[in-house]
Amino acid sequence: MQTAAVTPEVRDAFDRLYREHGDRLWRSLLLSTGRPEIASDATAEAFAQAIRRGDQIRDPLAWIWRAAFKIAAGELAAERRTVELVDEPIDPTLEPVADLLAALRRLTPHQRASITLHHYAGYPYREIARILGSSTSAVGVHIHRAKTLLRAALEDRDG
Amino acid sequence: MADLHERFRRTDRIPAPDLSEELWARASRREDDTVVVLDHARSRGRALVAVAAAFTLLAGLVVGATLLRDADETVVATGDASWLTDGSSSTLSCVEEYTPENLARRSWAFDGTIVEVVPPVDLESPNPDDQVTSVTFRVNNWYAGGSGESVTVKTSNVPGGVTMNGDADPSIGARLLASGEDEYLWGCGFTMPYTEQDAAVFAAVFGG
Repeated sequence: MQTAAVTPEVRDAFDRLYREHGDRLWRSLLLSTGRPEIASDATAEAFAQAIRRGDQIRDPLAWIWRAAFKIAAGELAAERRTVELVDEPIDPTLEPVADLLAALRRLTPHQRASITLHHYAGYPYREIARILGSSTSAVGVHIHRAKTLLRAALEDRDG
Repeated sequence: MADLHERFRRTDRIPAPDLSEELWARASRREDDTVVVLDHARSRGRALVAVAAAFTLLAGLVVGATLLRDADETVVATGDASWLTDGSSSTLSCVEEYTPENLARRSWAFDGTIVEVVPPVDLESPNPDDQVTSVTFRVNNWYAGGSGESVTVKTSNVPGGVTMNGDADPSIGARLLASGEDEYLWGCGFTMPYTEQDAAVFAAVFGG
């Protein structure tokens, strides 16, 4: 693909977009995958691909969220083919959310992504459906089931 | 137990890495974005990407290299129409199981290439027409029920690509064997990626 010309205005726009939304996207991907390295790779790659496409994309932020979650889901699926993640120790740097990450491992990838986008990123069901390429009703079901499973898992851990 | 919202909010305490230099470094690479399939695992290395692409092509899961070269660069990725042909996610809503005998009962069938995808206007709209995806095909061969070089059909499936905001959908360029009833394309195995083997089945079933 041809890389779109990066003018100073384009660079400023994407720098601002990253400053304003990059951390929230990264943390959402972290919760969804449990993997800081996947969150970093998906975030950087989604932004990079959006920059390359330039004005071919009408809504860069929406495109970046969709691309990042697709990339992260693909990478996680690839890892799962070779590694069982459930019993893997959680990175000590993630201690503030260690219990949540452990509980999230009990969910399916779609459930994790849906509840993260809703409870952490604050997206409504309809927008989550667009990000994940799903339907609003399916997102609702995923979130409902995810809440039930998460509460049970967290109560187990809290005793 | 802490409220779920509070649990999620604690994520803000995790320091996010500064990726600003990394994303610009990646953006400046003259990397071949044709691997932005996004529905598949993204390989970190170009060598792995090449292997994956070669495997994909060899497996016959995507359109041929010639078609890929001819397609618009933004969609070369593949012509991946799995959102349309993968029936596993909608098994519960399948009216019939795919068999050649059941295929023969479809009112139309063709071999076509996707040229346009229009996502639903509003999935929550009370108007059912606003909740469907329209897919336009350039028809290579009609097996039954139609004529003409192009046709637009509807589906309740939602595109799984990353470009629903007006950009070309990643499934554009995908060559499918499609069948359905009335104006609705049928999933559940009745629409599938084109292969010569399956095309022979369609031809035999419909006598074309």
